[in-house]
Amino acid sequence: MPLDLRSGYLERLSAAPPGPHAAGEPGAVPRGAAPAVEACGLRFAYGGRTVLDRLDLSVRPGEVVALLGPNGSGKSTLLRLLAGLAVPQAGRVRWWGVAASAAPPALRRRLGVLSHESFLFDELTAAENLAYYAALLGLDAPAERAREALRLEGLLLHADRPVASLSRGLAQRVAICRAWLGDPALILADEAETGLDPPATARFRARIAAQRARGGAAVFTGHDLAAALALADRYVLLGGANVADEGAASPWRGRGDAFAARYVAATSAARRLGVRRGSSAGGPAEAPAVAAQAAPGAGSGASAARGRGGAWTAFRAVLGREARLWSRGRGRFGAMLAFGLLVAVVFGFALDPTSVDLRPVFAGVVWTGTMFAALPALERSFAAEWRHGAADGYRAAGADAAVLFYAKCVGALLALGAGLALFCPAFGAMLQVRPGGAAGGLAAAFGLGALGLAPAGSLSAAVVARAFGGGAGPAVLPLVTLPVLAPGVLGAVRGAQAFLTGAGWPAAAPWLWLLGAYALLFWSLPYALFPVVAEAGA
Amino acid sequence: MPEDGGTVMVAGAGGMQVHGRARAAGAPLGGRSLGERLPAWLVWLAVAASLYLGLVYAPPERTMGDAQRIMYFHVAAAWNGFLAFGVVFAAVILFLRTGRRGWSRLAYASAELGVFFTTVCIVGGSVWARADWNTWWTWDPKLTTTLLLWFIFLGFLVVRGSAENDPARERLAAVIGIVGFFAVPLVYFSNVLWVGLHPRVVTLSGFAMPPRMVVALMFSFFAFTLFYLWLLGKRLRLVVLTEEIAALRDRLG
Repeated sequence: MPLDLRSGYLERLSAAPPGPHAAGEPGAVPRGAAPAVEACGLRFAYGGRTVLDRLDLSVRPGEVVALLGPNGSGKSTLLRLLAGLAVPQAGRVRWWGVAASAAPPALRRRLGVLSHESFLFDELTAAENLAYYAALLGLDAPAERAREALRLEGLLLHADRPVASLSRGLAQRVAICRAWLGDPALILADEAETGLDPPATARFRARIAAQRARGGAAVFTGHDLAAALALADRYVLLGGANVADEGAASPWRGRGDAFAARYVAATSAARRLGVRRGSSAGGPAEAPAVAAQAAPGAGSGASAARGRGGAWTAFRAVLGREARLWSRGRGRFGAMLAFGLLVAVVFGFALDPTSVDLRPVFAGVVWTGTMFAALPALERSFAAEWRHGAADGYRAAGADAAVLFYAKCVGALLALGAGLALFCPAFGAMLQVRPGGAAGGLAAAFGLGALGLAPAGSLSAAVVARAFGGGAGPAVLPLVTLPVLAPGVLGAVRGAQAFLTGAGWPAAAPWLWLLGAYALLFWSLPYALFPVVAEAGA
Repeated sequence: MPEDGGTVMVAGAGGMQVHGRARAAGAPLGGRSLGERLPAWLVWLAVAASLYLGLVYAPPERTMGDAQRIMYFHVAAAWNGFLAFGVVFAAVILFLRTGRRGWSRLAYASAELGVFFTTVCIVGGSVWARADWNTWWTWDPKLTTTLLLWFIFLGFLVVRGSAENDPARERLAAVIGIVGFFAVPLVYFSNVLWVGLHPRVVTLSGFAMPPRMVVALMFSFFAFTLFYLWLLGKRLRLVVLTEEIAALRDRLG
């Protein structure tokens, strides 16, 4: 809907109500002279290469900064550091004067982060993706919010299409909607215009202009120098792991060729000599003077407090999204069940239940089938969190990584319970095993086993999904996960065996204790360890 | 040619810097690592002495005869495996807390030695089992859980080995190192819970064997621990150099 441009789109954005919540809640952007984002002495090295070194940058409310530089000069890394998605090896980042490491979630939610990854789930529709992020941000009526955002961007026609079926440009526009969902006071946009058609590009620039008009701040990267200089108050040119040159944008507007020459000279000089500060090169004007007119307080939009949020909000948002993802993957779920049942067929065929009593091996067969069916599903489920950076989007929404794990883990436990409830009677029928009076004990052993195996499987599948992505993941999965799961499986199998062979509770008790300890261990370990996994890509 | 001159200069400076860092990373505690300070002659002397004590000084066992002498090396290898995995655990926690690469490298080196000594333990134990139980392998709890431990740290090595000098992926391996370590007490206490064939050498009432055997076993613990520390120093140095060379290659493109 390119007509949006002519129908007062910019006015509507700048007049947008400052969010549904009253101002003054904790975490609201402080009004004052503090920079919207400030970086001091940032250092970031990756794989032995120093990407950024001793970098300083400050962006005031109402200021728009164009971050320029050749490929590989560290623009994206700097934006990730400014967004708090990566942790610098030295130096610190502050938002409105508050250290990023100590910022409350409500303050974090005032950032709109647009990465080169979309942060979207392929299987969910555009509207579902946005509704998930709106729920994460603690906004009221997330589904309506999502539709409204899509309507403003002219994407209502595509609202109910899965993101996987959208073209790159359309997906990028959905990602732009996502970044603007929480009425951000600071926009960090990385090559946002990639893949956008001209009307969408104009609309994105209108959004940035509206952001400035409302007193919000923005930092964006791009390679269209003329457009960047036209849009920004100030440019910052990266080169040689630091700022190679910076200055006001206005003197260079309409002098694209002259600026291009300066760009090449500054970046190649920085690369050769490792220039530390570009200020000696002398910009046409000193940076702080530029945006002075744009500093009436922190701006009305910027002072709106975000939703209450908290762990429970994030937990519900993730669980709801998991349920949607599971229902989208119904076909795969069916395939998993069929695969598990095939295990019973193979065992039934190999062991001949008509002549052999299979009660002692029944529990082992059930868990073998369950594990082989469940592990790839768990790995896929965690791989989806990182495929387009959705886990980063989750963290950018100010939510706690441990909550993401526990919500997914509860989902996995429910799925595992459903799988066992189907497998046990099916396997029993196929292997001609009737539990009789042992049914209660069997349920206890299997239930306690599932309680420990869901978090243990989730944690190890998350590590594999993170370390190997879609590539070697499935091949490495059994090696890394099965030994960790083995104590839980042993306990569940031996405990169940005790009941099936008639030995009863006294024989089963040690195994049930083992299962209890195992469950306790794997419900508590991820609290400390999953955030490590989630942030490992930083 | 200022471009070329610049490149050479950067490489030279980088090389010096790497040398400095390699030394620092090789010894997480500063200075040379403990293993590197051990003189080789002392280690080999201790190993030779423990061979003498185990193979000659200690009396043969009544029922098993000389095959029982495997125990002096089997138990010491098991101890070294546990020790090595304990070092992995401590090192990955320190790595996660401090972010210093040296700890991650120490964990990598120690995990590899842990897997090596556990392999020695399993193979030696298997020969013992053939002599004592008339089978190469049985699903005894201690055997099973030791095998699991071996697999867990093999998984650690696979994840750590694919980290490609990326500290972020080394952190993932650290998670496995921590999870894996909780299997160690499980292995040790498994034969309390799960009655199996594996003998218990050390019980609450002391050692269930003659004094000469105890001397040989204790000395073997000592010699194997020295051997582990010495190997750890060598392996750590190798890990540091390999990773620093890879990093240099990355930087030069």
